[in-house]
Amino acid sequence: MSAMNEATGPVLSDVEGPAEMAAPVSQARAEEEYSHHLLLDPRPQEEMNRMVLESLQRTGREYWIVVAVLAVMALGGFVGAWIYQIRWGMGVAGINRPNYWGVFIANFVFWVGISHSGTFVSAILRVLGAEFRRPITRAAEMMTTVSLLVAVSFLGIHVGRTWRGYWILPYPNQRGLWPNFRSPFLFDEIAIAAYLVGSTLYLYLPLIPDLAMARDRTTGWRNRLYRAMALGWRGTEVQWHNLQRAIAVFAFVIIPVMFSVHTIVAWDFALTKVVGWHSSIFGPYFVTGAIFSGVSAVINVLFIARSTMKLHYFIREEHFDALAKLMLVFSFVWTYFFFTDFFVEWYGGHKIGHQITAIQTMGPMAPFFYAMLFFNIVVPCATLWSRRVRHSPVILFLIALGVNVGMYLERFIIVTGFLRRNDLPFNWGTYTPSPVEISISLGSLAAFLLLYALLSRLFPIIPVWEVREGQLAHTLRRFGRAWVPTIAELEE
Amino acid sequence: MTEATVLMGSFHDLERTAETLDRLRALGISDEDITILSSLPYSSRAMGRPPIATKLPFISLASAFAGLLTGLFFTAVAPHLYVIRVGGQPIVPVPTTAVLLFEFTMLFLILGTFLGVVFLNNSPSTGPQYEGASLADDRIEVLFRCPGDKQEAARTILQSLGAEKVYQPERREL
Repeated sequence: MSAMNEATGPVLSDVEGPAEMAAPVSQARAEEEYSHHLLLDPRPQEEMNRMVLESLQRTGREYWIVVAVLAVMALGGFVGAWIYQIRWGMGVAGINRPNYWGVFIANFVFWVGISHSGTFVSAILRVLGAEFRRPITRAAEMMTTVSLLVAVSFLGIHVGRTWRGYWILPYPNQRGLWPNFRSPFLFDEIAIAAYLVGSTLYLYLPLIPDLAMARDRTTGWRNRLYRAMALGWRGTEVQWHNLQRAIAVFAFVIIPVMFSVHTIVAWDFALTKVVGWHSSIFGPYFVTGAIFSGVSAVINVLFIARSTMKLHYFIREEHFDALAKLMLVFSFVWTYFFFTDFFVEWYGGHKIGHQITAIQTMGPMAPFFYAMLFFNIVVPCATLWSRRVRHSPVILFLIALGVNVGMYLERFIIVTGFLRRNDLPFNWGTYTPSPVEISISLGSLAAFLLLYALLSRLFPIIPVWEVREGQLAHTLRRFGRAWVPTIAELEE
Repeated sequence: MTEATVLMGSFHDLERTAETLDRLRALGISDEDITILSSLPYSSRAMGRPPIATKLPFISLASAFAGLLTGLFFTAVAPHLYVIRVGGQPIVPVPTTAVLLFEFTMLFLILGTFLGVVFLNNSPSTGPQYEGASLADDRIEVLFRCPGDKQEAARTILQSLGAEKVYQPERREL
């Protein structure tokens, strides 16, 4: 049945039966219908700038209490326990023979994995032209940089004598210690350096116009900071052109670097002769897991940022919906890789391989193993089909949190479970993380959250110019009797 | 002939900005004397301006090549300075060399591109610059150098096409 609206003309309501002709929907009605899409719900840029700047200064008492608690946890649990380990030596950690790698390496792999979120959400979606990415890229890129810093610290923590870390730098020294470029550990060092530099600069470049915007609207120390970091940005055509070219180059370059980093991390395991690790599938399996946990972590961060910084205009249910679909897809892909690897080990007939699968499925690692399957496969696959779930940020936050727990357990099992059995039965052993290792691990989480909480109040977490650019490109177009969203190609 | 001055007009509409540029060109003001300041990346095609040539791709490629050479030095040259023989493996194995060549190339490409964009954008700014009063405010500012005898005509063009403000901007430290 159609009705007539005086203000907007004829509008479509319920259509009764196939014979009844649908009246055309008015443009105003269509605009309202699509207004839940950020890019079809434009507001003046000045208003968006104001919202973002206000969100930076939204630091109430609760925020500072949380920051203080995180700072205490990070300083005590992470830095303090690390200093304790340096003072008393690696003996305070639970690692032993044959479990030379413990939770420090699991943490390293986990945080490197989280860092893949920024590159995936920002670079890959940018290259693919996924428009929903626009308001969420900065939050994801920021997470990449912060999590990489935490990940790198674990290399230092794991090797023990952190103060001699410069020995792995590629330069000859008077002790006759020369780096061996055939070692995967040197691959790690160079790849992570490239990724850290690349992702930090990839975060910084699109931030420059927003820093200039903040520079022109703030006073005091913030103004001095933004002035220094905006590098004299004026927004000339040449500046925009060069910036966009550079962002495009970065987007294409950072993707293979991302794949290489986690493949190389996987090779830390796969290039050894340890049963269970020596697998050609480890590279793509690790990359998939990294993106899976990274996308989940983006959901977690966006949920917290949206709630605490009042960013509901920018971060909408449509963004959670899109990320949830990605999470579901990567849950499938991860499941495929996991069972491909697991099945070969289980069916292969290698005695030590059987020991390892038994430890996972029936032994001391079984609770972690089944929890991993539950969080990474059962929960996402059972819930994310539902549009209602995908549109519920709270439920998604919990599912994503579960995925991150599951992915951490996966790394924990791979690192600490597989080393217990090897080809020399007299050399079998067990591993339990020591209080120092647990403290450093929990402290690293606090350090990550602390750094992120501080950075999110220091730099605009929403790329306003990218959102506005997207809004200019999106319009509604008459298509027959309907109004449909269209996207214009504005870039040259 | 009176001295040339710098004028700025502030627009809210892309169409009118492009029209203004056409009219200024017709008045005899060349594209080199006109700069557009905006809070969004409008393409030169949308403005009806000549395409912008940038050296950034060359800088990126040159940086990548420098990275490749650096990688080659570390992986193929340096190991001959201190030969480490491992189980009969070659001193310069191709697979491991390829990994590091890739990483060094990418690292230098990234650094070179960043430094390139900073250099090409004259950043950080070394002195006072003309800046739009309402940058990031959905405005498009047309900044141009205008000969003294054409000032009035230029002002008239800007105002007739709906410039919100026509003024002589001041340089300031950014």
